[in-house]
Amino acid sequence: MQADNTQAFQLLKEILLTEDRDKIQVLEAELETLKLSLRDKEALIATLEPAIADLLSKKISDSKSEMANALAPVMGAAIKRQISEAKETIIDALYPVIGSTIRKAVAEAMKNLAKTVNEKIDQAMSFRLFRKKVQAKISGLSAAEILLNESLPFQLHDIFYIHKETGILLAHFQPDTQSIQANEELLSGMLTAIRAFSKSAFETETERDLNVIEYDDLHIYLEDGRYAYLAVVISGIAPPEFYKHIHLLENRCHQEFTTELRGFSGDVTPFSKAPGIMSEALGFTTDASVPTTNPHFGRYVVYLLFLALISFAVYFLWPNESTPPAVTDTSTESVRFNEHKFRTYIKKFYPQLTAQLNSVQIVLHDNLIFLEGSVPSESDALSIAKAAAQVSGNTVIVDHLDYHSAIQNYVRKISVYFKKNSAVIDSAYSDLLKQLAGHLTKADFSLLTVYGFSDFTGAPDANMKISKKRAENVRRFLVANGVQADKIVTTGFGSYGTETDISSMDGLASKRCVTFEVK
Amino acid sequence: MAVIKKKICLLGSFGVGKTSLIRRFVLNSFEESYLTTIGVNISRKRVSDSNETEYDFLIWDIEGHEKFSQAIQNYYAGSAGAILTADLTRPDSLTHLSSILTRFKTINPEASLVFCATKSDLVDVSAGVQKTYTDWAKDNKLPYFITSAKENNNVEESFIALAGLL
Repeated sequence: MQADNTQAFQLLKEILLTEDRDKIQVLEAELETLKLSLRDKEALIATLEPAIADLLSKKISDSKSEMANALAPVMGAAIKRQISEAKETIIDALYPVIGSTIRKAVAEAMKNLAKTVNEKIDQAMSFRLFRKKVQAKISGLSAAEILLNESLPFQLHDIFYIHKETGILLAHFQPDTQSIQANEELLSGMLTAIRAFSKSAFETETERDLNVIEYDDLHIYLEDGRYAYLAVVISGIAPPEFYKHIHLLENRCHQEFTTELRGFSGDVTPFSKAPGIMSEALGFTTDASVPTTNPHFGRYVVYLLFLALISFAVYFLWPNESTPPAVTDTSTESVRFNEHKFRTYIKKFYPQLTAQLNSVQIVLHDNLIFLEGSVPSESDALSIAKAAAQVSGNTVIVDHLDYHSAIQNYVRKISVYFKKNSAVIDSAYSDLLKQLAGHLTKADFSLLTVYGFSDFTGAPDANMKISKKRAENVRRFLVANGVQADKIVTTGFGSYGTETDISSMDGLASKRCVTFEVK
Repeated sequence: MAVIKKKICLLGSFGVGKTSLIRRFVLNSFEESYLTTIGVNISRKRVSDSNETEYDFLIWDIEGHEKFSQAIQNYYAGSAGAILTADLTRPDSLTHLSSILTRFKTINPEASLVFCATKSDLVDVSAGVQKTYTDWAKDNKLPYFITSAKENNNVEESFIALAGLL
């Protein structure tokens, strides 16, 4: 009976559980497959791929800021990496966007430019257009260039006159007084420091200086002088003659303030008239555009025609023998210089300067005439420049003249010789010493040393004594002829050597001399 | 009376506190952080000496690296005076200062000079640490000051003393 019950129970179990057991087996098999697919990345990707786009889309739509916070840290690096790994692809992708943006910006700028040019042409019809053409002929620019210059307006913002060595601001000129200049003193100092730095950084055998600094649309143009320089701040396109005017302005300031600049000790009061000079010299540039429209232009053309007629008459009708020494062989297009006529002119009108001609050069640059080299004094330089100006009919710019080495060379070549046992200056040397005194009174020097010598005969003490006396007598002569007494010292060397050129004299006489050195 | 403009150089080895000295003098401020000066930095301040002459000081704070360059020597040009600085905590800065002084004098033999031993707040002045520095000043015949930019000690006095020498 019990056995029958057990069998019946088993049968009941079979009937009730078989279905569930089969289901469990199927589920276990599926679970195993799922586990395997999770371990297999490719299989997992294949599983998630259809849903991931929908998932991200849903997530971004539900919580944008959360997604942004989550992705932000990696976005920069990802983009950087992508650019580095697939530059060409990125360019291809962005070009349609950026390219069109650039094209649009350029097109807009060109449109504005064209509009401005058209306006200028419209405004300039009839007489004004004719005037532009005349102006173009005179200036050497095309009418289109003139119109373009007017369309890209040139503006002068500031002129700083700066002491070259210290960087101290001597004067400041602003055409537009409304402009604000943060700290002009510091700007002057820093410009000077930049110049000093670039000079040492790009040091070459030839002397070079920083000429232009560009900052955005501003150009800082630097015009160098002997003691000071001009820093001219401009924007737009400057007409060619502007630089010539700046050069001339620097030259004018130099001439106006030479004395103050030489002895500059920090007092800038004397330079208070410099802005007025700048304003006067560059007054035509203070308007928005250059070349500016000159209301008297028509009148000037008539004057020029009148002058041309007069010149024509003078040239052909004036008798040859009465022709003044000034030689005007320059054309209106470019400056020319006749060296031979210049030398002849100097010989005739400034014979005392003939010897100086070997140490100066006339340089033609940018239709300007520059006088360079070395001469013993500024007044000699001005005389030579005056002669050059007469001959050429143009302004001559005295530029980078070295007065000091010239006077040094000049003085080194001079020797005064004495008779035996005599310290008296021979009358034959009077003119030479007077000429030397003349140069020294005009020259910028700190000390002249007069060296006295004797021949080697006689007692050393007596030789020393007479050599000192010779030097002292020469000193007295120079002082009597205007040289500052406290700038001359004397030294006697006795019979000890000589530094002068004695090849032209023989024997003992060549030892009895006085020579000079200037510092 | 006209204001006289003068170029003044701050000289000394790197890190001795030249910039801090100028900041204290010009802006009356002090910062603990150290930023090395590259090239040159220029500041401006008006100073009156005891005779009431008014000066407009253009103060050139020149980088203090051991190696001299031509640019640094160009920065010296035209200086009416200089403040020489050495760090009280770094005696080696005094050695470097001697060579700086020699070069500066070559370019500006007539310039007026004042010596400042800096960072007195970091040393025990009463223990006589500064003797080497005062001896150096005496050897070079320079007026000297024991200064601290942090504690604003003797900074303005140094500049006024320099103005008095110009």
